[in-house]
Amino acid sequence: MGILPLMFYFFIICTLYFTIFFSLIYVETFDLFFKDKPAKKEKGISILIPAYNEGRNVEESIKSILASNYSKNKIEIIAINDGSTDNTLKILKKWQKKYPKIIKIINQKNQGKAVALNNALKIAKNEFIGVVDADSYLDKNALKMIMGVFENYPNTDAVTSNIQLKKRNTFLEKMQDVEYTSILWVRKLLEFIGAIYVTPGPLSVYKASVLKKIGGFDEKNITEDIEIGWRLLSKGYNVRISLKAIVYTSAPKNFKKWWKQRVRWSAGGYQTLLKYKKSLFKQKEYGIVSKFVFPFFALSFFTSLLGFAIVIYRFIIEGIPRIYYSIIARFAQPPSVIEYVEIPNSFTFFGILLFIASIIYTTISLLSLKNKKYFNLHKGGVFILLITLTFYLALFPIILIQGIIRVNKGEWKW
Amino acid sequence: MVNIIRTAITSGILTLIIFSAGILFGVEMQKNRINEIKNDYKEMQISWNDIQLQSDIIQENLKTNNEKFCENMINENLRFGDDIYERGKKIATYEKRNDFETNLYVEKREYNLLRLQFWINSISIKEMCNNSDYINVVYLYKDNVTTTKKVEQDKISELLFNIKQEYGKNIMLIPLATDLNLTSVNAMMNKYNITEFPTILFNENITISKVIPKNEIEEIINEQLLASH
Repeated sequence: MGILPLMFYFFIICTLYFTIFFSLIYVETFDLFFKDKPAKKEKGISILIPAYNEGRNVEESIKSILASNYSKNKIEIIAINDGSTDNTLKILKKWQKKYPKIIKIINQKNQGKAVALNNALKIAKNEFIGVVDADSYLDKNALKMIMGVFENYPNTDAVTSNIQLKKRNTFLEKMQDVEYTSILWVRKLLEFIGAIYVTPGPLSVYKASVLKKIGGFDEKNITEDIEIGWRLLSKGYNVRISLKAIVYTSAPKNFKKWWKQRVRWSAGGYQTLLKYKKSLFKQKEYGIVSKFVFPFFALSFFTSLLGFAIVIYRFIIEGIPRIYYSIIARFAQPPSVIEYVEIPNSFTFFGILLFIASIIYTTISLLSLKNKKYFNLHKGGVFILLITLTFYLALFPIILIQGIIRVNKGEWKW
Repeated sequence: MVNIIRTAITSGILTLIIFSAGILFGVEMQKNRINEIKNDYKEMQISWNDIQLQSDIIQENLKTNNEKFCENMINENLRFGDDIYERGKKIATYEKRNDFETNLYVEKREYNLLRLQFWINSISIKEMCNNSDYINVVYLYKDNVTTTKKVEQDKISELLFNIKQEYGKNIMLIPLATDLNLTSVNAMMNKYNITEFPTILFNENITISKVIPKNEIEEIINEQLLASH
């Protein structure tokens, strides 16, 4: 057997394994998805809002926190202007004037989000630290729900939220919405094995003591929300998610911005992977990071790159000569797809199985998170789903490669 | 909390079961296809024997009713040619779709011999029936080549198949693998002085050994068809 079929079998085994793994967790836990209860007793929370050129969004973000059903006297907002060149600082000052007892401002040179958060952490006075991105705004119940998790599960050290898109108008936004929902579903499943490895920027809340104990956010990592998640887990802290704590965030509206954002995420993920590579051999020290998070993350990266490498390899040795000879012959015939179904082999079996599994998997995630709009055939929901699962996801290995290259070149450092 | 160890082990077992089922499915499909090829070969052998017997009968009757018997013989030969061509394609496709390297070497040699016999028969018919309306297009290729070379061969194969569909009964298309260790095939290569592969041999006198535009192949065929009338 050649190397290509072996690589393909490896890819199949990995995908199959994790599909089954998450499905089993779901079967065991689906009735616990929406069991979160709001906090009965309100505890003090300092909400940090790092802002770089967010003049158009930060106002909405502050307003949503103030409009929350969480008592204002329990909230402290620390807004950090990270060297913005727009009117961010002006807007922050306007709101500080209105709520001088609640809002504090830190004005710093542009040094990155992690530095901004760490500077705010130094002056935060409350028992809990919330991080809210300046382009995100909270549902009015979000804080009560997220704090409810700390109250009902006292061993909890950090809680993240249900991230929803503000707008779902364009095709790109709709595809991102499907993606966000699937990620959210997996994140909830990861909670049940104690492996939520990211506390995303739109809304996450931490115990201040824990955050300070582990040294705050990593200022060298460009996705500090991934790194802090890994660090919390590796030090044995518990991270949970509340699906009832909803936060709305902006998704990139055009392809260029989307690409840039995803390259940054991939680069941050890769940076984190490199930082924790030693965890693979130190199971006792790194706990769940060593046992699950690192292998899962590394395998995801590897299989993604492997699949891409197979496609590129085949294109070079088959695709290019085929195009070349078609030009010479002035005759082209599209490759037969029918034979893959008419003359089945184990690859047909696995291909169909995995495709159906991915559709079921995403469908369950969308249905279980009550996003039933995707299954309106008349509005093209199934089409969005299929395009997301095929072309949209096919771009990720390229994004990952770009992220890895940029990190290795040292282009991405704060 | 879910017991991660238990879930991981259960997932592993289920993965193993599903993966094994997929592999077994592939193996079973492959077995069926090999049996199908073997049965096809038996049928082709019967057809070939039938054609040969017919050829013997016709040769005896050539003096009495030349034209009618020639037409019959050519038609039967064409039918057999189409049949063996299709089955050859089937073997190639099956081989490509097999999961595991299989020993189709023997089957390919058997078919190759049948094709060679068919080619020789086509030459004889042309000689016997002076005024034939078809030309022999023999496509000589190698079975064991690099992927890039295979793409080149496949392109010629696609071209010829497409041309065959356009010209129908005017072409006897005979693909022949030249590296299956058959001395008779080697003898034919020597006879027509063929050293490069892939090569297209038109009516045993014109050779092309590279991919050329479709219309140029058609021009050669048209000239040959005109010459044979």
